[in-house]
Amino acid sequence: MAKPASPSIVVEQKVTAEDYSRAASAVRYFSAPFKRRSFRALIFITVAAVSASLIFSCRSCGFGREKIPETIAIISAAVAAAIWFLQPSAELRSAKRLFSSCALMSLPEKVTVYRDRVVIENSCESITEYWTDFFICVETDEMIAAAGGRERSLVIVKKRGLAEKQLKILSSLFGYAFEGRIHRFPVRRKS
Amino acid sequence: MKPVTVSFAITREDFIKEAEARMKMQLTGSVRACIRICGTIMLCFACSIFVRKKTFYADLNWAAAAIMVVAVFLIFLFIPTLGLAVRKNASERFKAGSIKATAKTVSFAENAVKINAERYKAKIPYSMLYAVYADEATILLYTAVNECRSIPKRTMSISEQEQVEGLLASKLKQKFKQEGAREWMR
Repeated sequence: MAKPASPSIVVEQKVTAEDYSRAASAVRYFSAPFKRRSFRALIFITVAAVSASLIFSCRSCGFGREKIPETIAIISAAVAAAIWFLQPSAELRSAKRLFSSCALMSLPEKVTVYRDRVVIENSCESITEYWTDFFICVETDEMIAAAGGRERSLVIVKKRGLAEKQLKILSSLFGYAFEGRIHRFPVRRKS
Repeated sequence: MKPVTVSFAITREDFIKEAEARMKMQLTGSVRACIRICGTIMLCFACSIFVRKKTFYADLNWAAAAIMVVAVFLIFLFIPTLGLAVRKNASERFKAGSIKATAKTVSFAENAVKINAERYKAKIPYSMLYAVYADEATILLYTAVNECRSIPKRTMSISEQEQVEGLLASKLKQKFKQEGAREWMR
């Protein structure tokens, strides 16, 4: 008896700069936790707090050098604020610059997802990537993004336009391929 | 025009030369100049400490010497050291087998470059390439800032190399960068 064909999902999509930057930031969030703005800002807030606590001890000891911890505390707090407010826009700019540098990524494409690989086809190229080469996968409400491919470093599969059954199959295919390396962003749950 | 077609597999030497070419592509003339200017400023600052040390603290001599060493490194040794590190890293990565390079056929036709590999098949019009870089050993085809495919020049005859470089220069204009020609092309 012939084996049943392994399930696959075909998605026709056009990735935009916004999709790419969202996918890149979701992947970065899980793949590099030490680069998160909360972590970086927290380091500088800690330095600011430690320096601020030294101001009083310097005053009470009469060293007269409280200007040094004061300056460190102010600079650290300013850096923490700058990281908190500027990092997201800087990351967005960087992702958009990367996307705009690749004319091939903005072409309409057909993505076929299999258990072990993905095939991306557009009018100029056909790419086959195996999931074993990827190091992380992130699923959000809008898309599934996997990073680490040999030919295309970030593969995006958009969920828009897919039926509920197809979404389930797609999710299970990625779940099977990535197992412990898949992260889910449960932003909105349908009631 | 008859297309130039080459078939090859990346060897260790090719991979090292590719890494070197990538480094050269990233270290543009302005970046190299910036590094040397920083070094020169640091050198001048260190010299001023030695010359006018009465206006500074006397114990800054060691700091000035350290700054001078760093400055000399930046001016004369930084780029050769970086090249050595890049070559060593590429060699180790190739030996470790983390490259997984497969055989490729690349064809430079009149309007597009065709690439045929096990996992990648493409016919890319020259206008869709991000940039192309060529040095004495390698041609790098950039499809994005972080995506490039290399073609070792050893796979082409001298006349084929000239034909391909002429074609790339006419089709890509400013997006085609050649080692040695970069400064005057801009």
